[in-house]
Parts: sequence; C-alpha cells; structure tokens
Amino acid sequence: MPHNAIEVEANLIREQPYFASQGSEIDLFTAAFHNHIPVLLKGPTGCGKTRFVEHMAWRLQRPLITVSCHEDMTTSDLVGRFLAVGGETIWQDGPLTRAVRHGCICYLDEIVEARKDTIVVIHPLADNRRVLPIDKLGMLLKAAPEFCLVISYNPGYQSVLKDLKQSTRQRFVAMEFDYPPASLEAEILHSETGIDRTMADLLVRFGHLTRNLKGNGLEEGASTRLLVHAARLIQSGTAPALASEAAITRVLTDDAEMLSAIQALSETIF
Amino acid sequence: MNRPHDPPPDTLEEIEERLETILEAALSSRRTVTGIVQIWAQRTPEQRRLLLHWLPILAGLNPELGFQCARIVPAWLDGLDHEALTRRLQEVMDRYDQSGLQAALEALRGDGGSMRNDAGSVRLTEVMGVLTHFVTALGGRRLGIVEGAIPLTTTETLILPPSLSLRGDPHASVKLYDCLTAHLWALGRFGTYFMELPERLSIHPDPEAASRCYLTLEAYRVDGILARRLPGLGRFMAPWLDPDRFDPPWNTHLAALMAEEGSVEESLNRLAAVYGSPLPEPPPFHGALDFKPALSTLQQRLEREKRLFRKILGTTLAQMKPIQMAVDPRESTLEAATLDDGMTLELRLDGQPLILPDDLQTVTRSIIQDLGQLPPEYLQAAGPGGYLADATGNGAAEADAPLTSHADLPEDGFLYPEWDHQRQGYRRDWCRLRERTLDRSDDPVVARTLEKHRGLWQQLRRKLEWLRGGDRWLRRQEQGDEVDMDVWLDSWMEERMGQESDPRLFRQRRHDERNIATLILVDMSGSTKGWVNEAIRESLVLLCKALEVLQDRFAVYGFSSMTRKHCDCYVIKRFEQPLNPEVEGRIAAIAPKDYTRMGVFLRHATHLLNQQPARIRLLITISDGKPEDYDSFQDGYRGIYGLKDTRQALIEAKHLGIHPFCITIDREAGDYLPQLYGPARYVVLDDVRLLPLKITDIYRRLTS
Repeated sequence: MPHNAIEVEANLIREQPYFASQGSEIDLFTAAFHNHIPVLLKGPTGCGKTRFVEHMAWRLQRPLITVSCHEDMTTSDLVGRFLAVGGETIWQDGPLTRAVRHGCICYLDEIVEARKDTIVVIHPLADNRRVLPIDKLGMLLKAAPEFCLVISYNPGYQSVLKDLKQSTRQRFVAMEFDYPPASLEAEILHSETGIDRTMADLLVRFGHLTRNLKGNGLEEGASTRLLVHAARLIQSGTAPALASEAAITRVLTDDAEMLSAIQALSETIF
Repeated sequence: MNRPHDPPPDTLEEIEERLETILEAALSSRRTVTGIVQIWAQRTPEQRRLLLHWLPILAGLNPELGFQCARIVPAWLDGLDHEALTRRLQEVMDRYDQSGLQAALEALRGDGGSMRNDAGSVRLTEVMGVLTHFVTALGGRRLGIVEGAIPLTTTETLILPPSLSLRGDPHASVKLYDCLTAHLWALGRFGTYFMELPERLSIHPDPEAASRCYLTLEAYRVDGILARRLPGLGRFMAPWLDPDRFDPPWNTHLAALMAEEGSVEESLNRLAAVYGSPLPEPPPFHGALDFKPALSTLQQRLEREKRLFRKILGTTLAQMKPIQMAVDPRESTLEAATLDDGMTLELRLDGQPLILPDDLQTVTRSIIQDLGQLPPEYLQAAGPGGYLADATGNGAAEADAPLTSHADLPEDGFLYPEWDHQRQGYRRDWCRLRERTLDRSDDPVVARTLEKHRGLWQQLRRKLEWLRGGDRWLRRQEQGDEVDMDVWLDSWMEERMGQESDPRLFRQRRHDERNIATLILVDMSGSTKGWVNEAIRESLVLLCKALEVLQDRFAVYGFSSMTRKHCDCYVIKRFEQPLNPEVEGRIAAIAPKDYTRMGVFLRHATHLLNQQPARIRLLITISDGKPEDYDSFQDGYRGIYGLKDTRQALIEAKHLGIHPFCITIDREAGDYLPQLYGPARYVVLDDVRLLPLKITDIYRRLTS
C-alpha cells in the first residue's frame, strides 16, 4: 500500500535525538531488537524513556510509531477499523498494524493507562509467534522482521488498578530508568538548552531537594523534563526564581503548604 | 458571659461586677478583683470591649489563667494592635493545651519584652507544616520539629523557638525560620557531633569553654557549606558571616573555615588558636552551644541501629540461605559511593553482592551519616546464633520501633485537631481517636430486614442494576469502533431507493465505570437508643446491599465518644473487606453507646477516604441530632462549639474533594441544621421509620 508506506516513511527520525546514556541501555536494546524480544521500559515520569526510544529508532534506522495509551483506547484504535467512503467500506490500519506490517518500532507509552482487554491484543505479538490477529479481516498478520514492540510504564503509581499483569510483563526484557546522577543531569540541561553549568548545577540541586519529598507529601519530585523546561525559560531571559516557580514548583503540587515549602527551598537556591 | 452587643462597662462598679462574674471560680475572700479593676479603668472603652471578648474564653480554659490574663494582658495593649493581641493570646492558649497551666502562665509572663516590635513576628505554629516539608527535602534522616525556648538540635529533633521576628518584616521572619532550620539540620548532617567529642575537648583546661569555642567554629563551618550549596540562603546569611564582623583571632579562622570544604578535624585544629578569646556575637540563626542533647541521642541511636542493622541483615540472609549462615567477615564489605544525594550502597557478604532491602538501606544510610562508614564489626556474625543472636537481646523491642517514630502516628490511635470558633483557630492534637472492632452479634437483622422490606428491595434492586457500570454500545455514531451492520444495511437500502441516507453508520463501545468510594459513618451515641437504633441498622442493611449490587467500594464505621481523649471509631466494614456474614454480624451489633463528637470522626473518615483511589469519594453520615460530648472544660463540646467544629470538619472534607452528605433523624428538625451542615448537602427525616425506605433511594439519586 503506497499510501501507508509514505506515511510510515514520515515516521523515520532523521536527526540524532540527544540522549545521554547512563549505562548499557543502548547495547541491551540493540540486542533485544535483533533477537526479536519486546522491550519494557520502567521509570518515573520525565526521566527520558521516550527520548531513549526516539534515539534507538534513529540508531536502528527504523520508523517510530508512538501511541500514548489512555483508558478509552480500544483494540480498534490500535489494530484498525473499517471506514465508510462513498457507500463502500474500506479498511484502515491502526498504528500497531502499520508498525507490524512495515517493520517499525511501535512504542506504547504508559501502557497501564490502557484497559486490560486492550492490552491483551499485544500478547501474540510479544512472544515467539510474532503475529497480530485482525479479527475484523479474519487474518493473522505476521510481523515484519524489523518490527519491535516497546512499552513503558511508571511503577511509581501506587494504585493497584494500574499494575501490569504478569502474563503481559513476562514477555519482555525490562529496562529500568531513573533520573540521571547529578553531574550527568546538569550535563543534559546544558546540552539540551545551552544553559551555563553553574545554573544547571543549581537547577539539579533544586530538583534533588524536591525528590526528597517524594512519598512525604509529593507524589513525584521534579523530573528531568521539568528541569529542562525551567532551563529553557531561564535561557530565554526569565529570572531563575520565576522560571523555577512556573516550570517546577507550581507544576508539582496544588497543596498550599507544600507550595510554600517548595517555594522556600527555591529561595534557598536562587 | 460577655456578648458582642453588650456595651463595655463604664463605671468602676460595672467593671467590678463584670470581672467578678467571669472570674468567680478564681476568686476567694482574700483574692478579689479590686486591683484588676484599677488596671482596667485606665483603658479606653474600646480596649475594655476587646479584653472582655477574650477574658471569658481564657477563664473558660482555666480560671487561674483567666485571672492572670485579666491582670497582665491590659498592659500589652500599649504595644499591640488587635491582630497581634489575638495571635499572642492564641499562643498562650496553645501552650495551655499542650503543656498545661504553668507553661501557659510562663508564656503569659515571659513575653513582655518582645511585645513592642511584634508586628513582623511569625509563630512556629504558622510555619510548622512548611518547615517539616522543608527539612525533609534537605535530605538525610527524618527530623521532627518541636517548640522550645532555645533553638537546638538533638540530631533527631529540631527545637525551634515559638516565635521569631526579624526587622519587623514577616517575610524576613519566615526566612529566619528557614535559615535556622537549615543550620540546625546541617549541624547534624555534616558531622559536628561525634562520640569522641568530649574526649577531644578534655585536653583543654576548661572543656566547657572549649566546647563553646568548638561549637562556634562548627556553626560557621556548616554555614559555609550551606552558603555554597544553597546560594539563596547564602545571600540571606551573608551580612552575619562577613569576616569583618569578627575580632581577631576569630576573623581569620572563621573566614578560613567558611571558605573551604573543611572537616570537623579542621575546626578541632583551629580550636587552640581561638580558645580563651571572647566568643563572637552569634547570628540569629545559630542555636545553643550545647552538644549534650545531640550526643545522648547519638549514643542511643548508634546502639539501636546497630541491633536493627544486624537484625534486618540476619533476616535477609536467613531468607536467602536458610541452611548455612557462616559468613567470612574478611570477605564482607560495604561500599558507599558518596554520602551525598543519590548515594548507592553495595554490600558484599562472603564476596557475594547483596541487594539491600529498603529498610536496611535506610538504617545503613543513618549509620553512615553518624559514623562516616559502616564499622566492620557490624558485618561479623556473633557466634553460632548469627546476626540475630545479639539483635534479640536486651532492647530488641526498642529496635523494632520505627526509626522515625516522631514522624509517624502515635502508637495509641490517631490525633486530630479541633476547631475552636471562639479563638478562630485549631486546638492542635486535641482529640485521640482509636479504631476498635465491634464484636459480632447473632441477631439476624439482615435476614429480618430483607424479609420485612422484600417488596421494596426487589423494586430497588432493579433500579440499581441499571446504574451499575459496564460496557455498552452506543449506536448510530458518526465515528466509532466498528460499522453498525444493521444501520449500514438500512442506509445502503435507502441510498439505493434514492433517499437521503443517515451518515451515522458506526457503533461505539462505551465503558461506564462508576468508580465511587463511599464511607458511611454511623452515629452510635446514647441518644440512638430504641427505635432509632433499629431503624439505623435496617437502613444500613439495605444500603450495604444496594452498594453491593452497584459494585461501589464502601466502608462502614460507627462512632461514639466520651470526652476528647476517648473517641472510639468502630470498624464495621473496611473498604477492602467484602460484605460477608462477619460484617453482617457487626452491623447487627451496632448499639447505642456514649456521645457524638462529630468533628473528630469526620476528620478520620476524611483521612480514610482520602486514601481511596476513586473518582468520586462520598462521605455519608447518619446521625440523630446535634453534636455533643461529655467534657470538663467550660461549655465543652456542645452548643455552638460542637456545631462550628462539625461544620469546619465538613469544610475540610470538601476542600479535599470529598462530597459529604448528612442524613439526620430529627423530630424537631431544628433551625440549627443549615448552620451545621452549611457546606454539605443534607436531608432531614422527621420520622425514623422512613429511613430504611428512603436511604437507598437517597443514595441512588446521589450517585446517578
């Protein structure tokens, strides 16, 4: 299908996405890719999971199809559906089917947000069968050799409702992500935004203070992504105190007491 | 009792009469109000009105406190405005609540000096919550904060003064609290206190004087570290840390200590040079020069944590190697990368890497924070019993105590505040609530109720099943999951026949999830005796059955109180329990007990509901009238006090996104109800027999 092929081509990443490796994750992903084993990425929000997948798609020169999962997502949203055009019905591939057919990397972000009956559709794709059943077409689609399934989730969610079932998770190789060590995180801020090292160090220090509050009134501390946002604002001329308030403090919580505490921490730094 | 519309007393006789009424309990034949009348007579009518507002409240707490206030407080009016006076008096009352009469009188008498410049002062109670988060964020061991006259750290608790004032500016005063907190935190964090300290100081002729010099050097050393790590705080501290402020020989030594990342050794080395010189004037954010409280805490902690470390290590190893436990200490090491944030610990036992469980990580971090490293003997098994042998010796029970006991719940129940409308403030940790289980009763109330209301129940059940969550198909959609073949065929036919066809050819699956958590709070006070109790039990049976049909998560708690110290919350069904015969037996066991201190139970229910991950959280109370309790303090938990506290607790629940709904059985349907339930929705039933008939329908309408 030329129409689909063009669309898939558009998903190819041509410029290298910046990614600072913390260990052997690149080698591990590459090995999993070549051995047709799907990959599970775990880690808190904003620590670089999505960026890593983009980087790997660029490295392996495969188009990347990303689906952000949500609770209203159905199997049809992933696999595809019939559309009615001029009195006829035509079939349109969903993102997963497109990835399977054309050998893309399919990244299902925050998989636990999807409903359980939707998640099971990936099971036959995620073991040695590597097939996608398309009930509505009455066919089994065999995955192209370059197809790779990647899912991510944040185990920080304490809710029992948002856990990944063993029957799903035991099909993957799992890679744990966390916020990078202080010096590397400062380097990331510097590389991503051009901010000077001193200010990058201060932002990272502020981030660490908020992370100490995780589980003590804060659901999550400031992620690397938030620090990058603050750094961008500072780079474009916003005063550091205001930038950190807007990009970090107010994003983290609505609780008045906690807001005052984080504001006080920010004042000790900026 | 003074009322707002009463005119302030003008003549000496009027003042005397009013004071005698209020202070009656504190007066005797030899102790009269004559002296106080003279003091009051010098005040303006407006000031007297203000004094008369507060005096009954204070005398109600304690007659002696009232008497002393009547004597002392008029003089405060020279330096304080209305708002500042209110804050001062609230402080006195807080002290009374927490530490009793003597502490309150001390607060009353001792505050004279700081009266004049009160405008910019900040009370610890105002910033306590923020400071607790603040010090947690700084990292390391969990620290508690308590109020005390002289700032100090025990390395587990920070003692902060009840109020601080800097430059008459509230913002600066808050910053001073932040700074003092960070400073005391840093003393514990960067090694100022260690076990050999007394020995190291004993080489000087006067170890006491040497300790003051050492602690001064250390205070500035940690300020230097803080200023480098937290530049914003550094700017705030800078005026006090300028070396030009200090006389020789302090100036050079303090400047050097602040400039470099020196260690405790550096301070000890410089001690001889400054020993004997007068101490520099300390900044307002330094604490007392006393290491004894810290050292005694340190010693207890080291012993406790050593036992705890070995106990957890022993348990971990026993789980890994159930049979042999011989470990060669020469092959056992613990490597900590750094003490800084993000420290990783790697323990090798017998040359084998061991992943430390979370509790072991916590205790290991704490030990390394105190000792700089994990001493090798911690890793050596003590004889044939292994690690567990000495961990179970004396004090094993203590070792089991949580490390952060001050940050956790008190062992015996939950402490909740209470709203005092007269002070317009909370009485902190005022009520002690305990969760109790209710013994099952064999009374077959469930079977009886379902039999009695069979017709009603069948009718309700059908209505309820409609509401239950589930998947359903929405037909004739413009977009959807799949083509609706029936509609498509119709449409195709219509088109063939030259008619206009319906473009909505799809059907869409919609998942309706109720996602509701409901907590039912049932009044078990003495007034529910007889018919009311029977009706409450029947209603509960029907409501629980309805909730089961709806598949909503729910919990049921009963409540009864006997003074603020005995608030009992009876667990009938927790959220995670199913509705089983056990629970039904407990519903049958609901019986009238004591009084109705509503506020504390609403706060507890709010706390429980807040932990439920539901989209809608509903708090339903079933009670039979005004909140009231048996209390010894004047007026107690009845009348307007109880109403206002209940109202406040409902407001708190609403702020947390909980929907309170109150069902009241009250024959008189008093006019107090709007005042009581103002912020919540409520329904009044004048006939208790209607309750079982209506309650399920009320719930259905509430959640559909």
